[in-house]
Amino acid sequence: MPSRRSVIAALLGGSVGTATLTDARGYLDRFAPLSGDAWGAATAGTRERVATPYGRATVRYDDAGVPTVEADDEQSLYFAVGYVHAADRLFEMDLIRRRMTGTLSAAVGERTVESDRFHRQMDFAAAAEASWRAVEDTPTGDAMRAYAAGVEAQRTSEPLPLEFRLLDYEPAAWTPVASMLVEKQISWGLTGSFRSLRRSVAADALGASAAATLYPQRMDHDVPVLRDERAGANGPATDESAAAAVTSPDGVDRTPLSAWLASFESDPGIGSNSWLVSGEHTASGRPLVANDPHLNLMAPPVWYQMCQRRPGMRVRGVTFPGVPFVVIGENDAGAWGFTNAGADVLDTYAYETRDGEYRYGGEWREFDTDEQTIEVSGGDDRTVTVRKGVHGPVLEREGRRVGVAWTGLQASRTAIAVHELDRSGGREEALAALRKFDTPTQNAVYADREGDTAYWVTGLIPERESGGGDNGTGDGDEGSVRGDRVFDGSAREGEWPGYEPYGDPDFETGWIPFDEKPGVRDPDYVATANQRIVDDPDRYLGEGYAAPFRARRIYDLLDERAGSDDPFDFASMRRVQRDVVDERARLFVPVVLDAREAMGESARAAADRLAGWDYRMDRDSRAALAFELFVGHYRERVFDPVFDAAGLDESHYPNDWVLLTLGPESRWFADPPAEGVNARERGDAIAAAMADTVAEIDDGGYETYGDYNRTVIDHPFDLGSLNYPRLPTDGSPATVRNFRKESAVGSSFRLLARFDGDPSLGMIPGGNDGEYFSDHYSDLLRSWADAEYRPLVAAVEGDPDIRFEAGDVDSAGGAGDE
Amino acid sequence: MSESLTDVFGSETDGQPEGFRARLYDAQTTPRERWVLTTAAVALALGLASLHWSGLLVGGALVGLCQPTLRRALVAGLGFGAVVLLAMTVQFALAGSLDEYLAMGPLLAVSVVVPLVAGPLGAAVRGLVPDAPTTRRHE
Repeated sequence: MPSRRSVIAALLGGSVGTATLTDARGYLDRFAPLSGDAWGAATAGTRERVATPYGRATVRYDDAGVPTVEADDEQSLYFAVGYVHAADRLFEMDLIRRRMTGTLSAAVGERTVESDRFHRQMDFAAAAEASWRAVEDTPTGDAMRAYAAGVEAQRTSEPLPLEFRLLDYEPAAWTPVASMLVEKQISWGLTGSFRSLRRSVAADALGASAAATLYPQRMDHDVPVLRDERAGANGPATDESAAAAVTSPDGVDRTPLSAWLASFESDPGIGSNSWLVSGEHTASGRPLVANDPHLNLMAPPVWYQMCQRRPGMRVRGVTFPGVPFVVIGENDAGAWGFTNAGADVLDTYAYETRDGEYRYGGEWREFDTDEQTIEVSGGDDRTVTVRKGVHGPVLEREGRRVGVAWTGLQASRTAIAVHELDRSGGREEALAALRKFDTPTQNAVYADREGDTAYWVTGLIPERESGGGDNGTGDGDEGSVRGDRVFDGSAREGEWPGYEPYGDPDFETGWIPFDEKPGVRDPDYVATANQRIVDDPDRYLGEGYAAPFRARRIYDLLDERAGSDDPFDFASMRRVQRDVVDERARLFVPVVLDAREAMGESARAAADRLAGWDYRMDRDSRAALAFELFVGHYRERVFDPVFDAAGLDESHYPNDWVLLTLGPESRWFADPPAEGVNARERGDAIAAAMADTVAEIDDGGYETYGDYNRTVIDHPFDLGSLNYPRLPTDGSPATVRNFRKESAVGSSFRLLARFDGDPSLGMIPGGNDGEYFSDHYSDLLRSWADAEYRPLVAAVEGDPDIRFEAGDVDSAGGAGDE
Repeated sequence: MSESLTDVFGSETDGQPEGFRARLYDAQTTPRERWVLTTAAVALALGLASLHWSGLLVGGALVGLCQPTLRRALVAGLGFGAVVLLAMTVQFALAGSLDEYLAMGPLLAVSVVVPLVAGPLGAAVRGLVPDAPTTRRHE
């Protein structure tokens, strides 16, 4: 029998060996109490004095962690801005950089390999470098260098945030090119749509006519952004009479490629609201501006709220972490906001190929190829072939290829535009700045203190040409080619004159001139909600517009107020932004009620809840619960049988306008466009969907809409404690107060701007500080969920939290050009 | 290692410990001396544990060696683990991040389990040396 001593010796030896020679060591290094690396973030504070190679600056945080940065001059200001961005959001910034450069897997492992593969193939890094080349010799370049130096000063001198400690890596030096990558991500998230490819795949699978009903060229509604530009004599096209979708030019089935790419496109729910009202119609005599971009809701938020002040400039609003400038907000002269314009700025091309070459007109060219290694933490490295052609990257999946042209792949002057917007002294200066806002295409609304207002579409929109090649088969006439198909790249269809992927384009040639893009000065009031911009544009702008539910509601409310005896006031603007009436319900609840005879007892009881409902998506509403769940099940009941038979996935779902305007005679009921799928009555589909709804309500144990409609705002890590709390909230995917539970998209910043002497208001969903241990990690979430606001007021009283004073900062040397 | 544990702690002849071991037994079995040594060991061990997780094992061992028996050493090691947790709690509370720490789920669990295992494990070193003779115990 072994002695006590030998047993204990074996126990100790085995334990120490396990702790030092296995993965346990990594856990101990990070999580052991007192010494664990992860806990360093819990007790770290920001220094109160920081040496700066520029001039003096101060930072004061308000009670919600929103900083006011004051400085003697521009570069001193942006150095300090970089410092506070890094102090509060360094991991988020690095994550964006890694995502866009396809280096996520080196940090987080296997689960992001496909993301890295896509982002490498797109080569956003080269596009960001092109943008930096276009900016580096301008005052904006100086500002971005100072910003990067500020980030570096923080990164190299302060403890790293928790996430780096959990993943056990240190971020690389921040550079101006990294800031450009942030801009590329935002642009991609708003305009990176493979709609034409998806439409082509659907046309191949379902037939051109059926596909056209899913993706109509124009939705039949009367609330475009600019309503004075009326439709032509024939009126707008109706959904089912829309022109047939164009099938692929080479007959290749690109379904796997389309399905793969759907993971990396902008979310269908991405959108925004904005409106402005002229001072002629307001009680104060001053204009009013509202904006709430609907972006991904995540922890920490996509926006960073702050105030920036230097002699000659005082600006308040939100920046993107990694970008020095306030993107949405106000300065002492005016206020501005953006929504997605929905312009078509991405085209796809099929090529005739042979032995690594592709035909382009009359010549054969070699693809520019580069074999790259994707490093994978804890796994085997992967190889990816980055292939480029004349239009830009050539994406490949399961042997199917498609060339991609996207305006964001070339240099963009957007950083200059936003920088100048922050410094603008009124409407004309703001519009001059917006001329350089190359990507993404946006609806910009602007109002200044003098009462001048404007709406304008920003961003480069290509004027396509076809037929330039020897075998051109396109439409032939310049400027009239629609981008709604996969072009035959070998035949030089759908060319963009002036386009220079990964290079410096000719900004004046081949794009719709700024003055000819939709826009208006001094409108009475104008509202944008990602709907069609004008009914009959002179040139093709796009067709991937949002369903018009929010636009209709906003215009109805504005029209109602304008038609009353009461002028617009700030409270009325707030009511519109907080409105939760769902126009989908107004459109379809009567149809549901008419279908009750086809329903079973429990489904009919659920449908009965909708009778007499005011269509408000309030958290305490039982009808709202039934309706929201019903829409999802109805979508599945209508499309899934056909999609399943045709091999299409849910990325091909059309928007809810298409779904809810399919009449009982639609072929989706009378003659489903797939073999083996029988005809059915619309009422039967509605009844089945309502039965599904009842089952989901029972399974979920839901009583009211708020039991289901809870915030789902999560950190990129799959770690519960880093996610925000689940709170009930109001609104739906179709309401002005926008919240999409299923895709975690919604109002990412709410701005209500005024010029009557009282402060404007704003609110972000969550907290301004991305550091988990901070008091401001999620302190604004409840206020956001309850649609409350905070004044956009600079913190100028009291001692500064951080003072930047002249001195050498060794780390600033690493923040130069790449 | 050229030295054996016997060389270090002395040897027993006629059942009576001698040399260092005898002195150790005296310290272990004298309540006042034991408490002083244990307190000093805890203080030293907290410092070591703040530098590296192996300090938790070393701390457990130091605290354990202050005890007259293996059983008491294991209890003391567990107590040392609890002191480490208390120190960490105070540290987080002073930094204003205690609530966030307590909400960290699995990471919290790891940080709690580690000292409560490492302390007794280190204290098990006490078992490499025979328990102090009963006749020397003053309690």
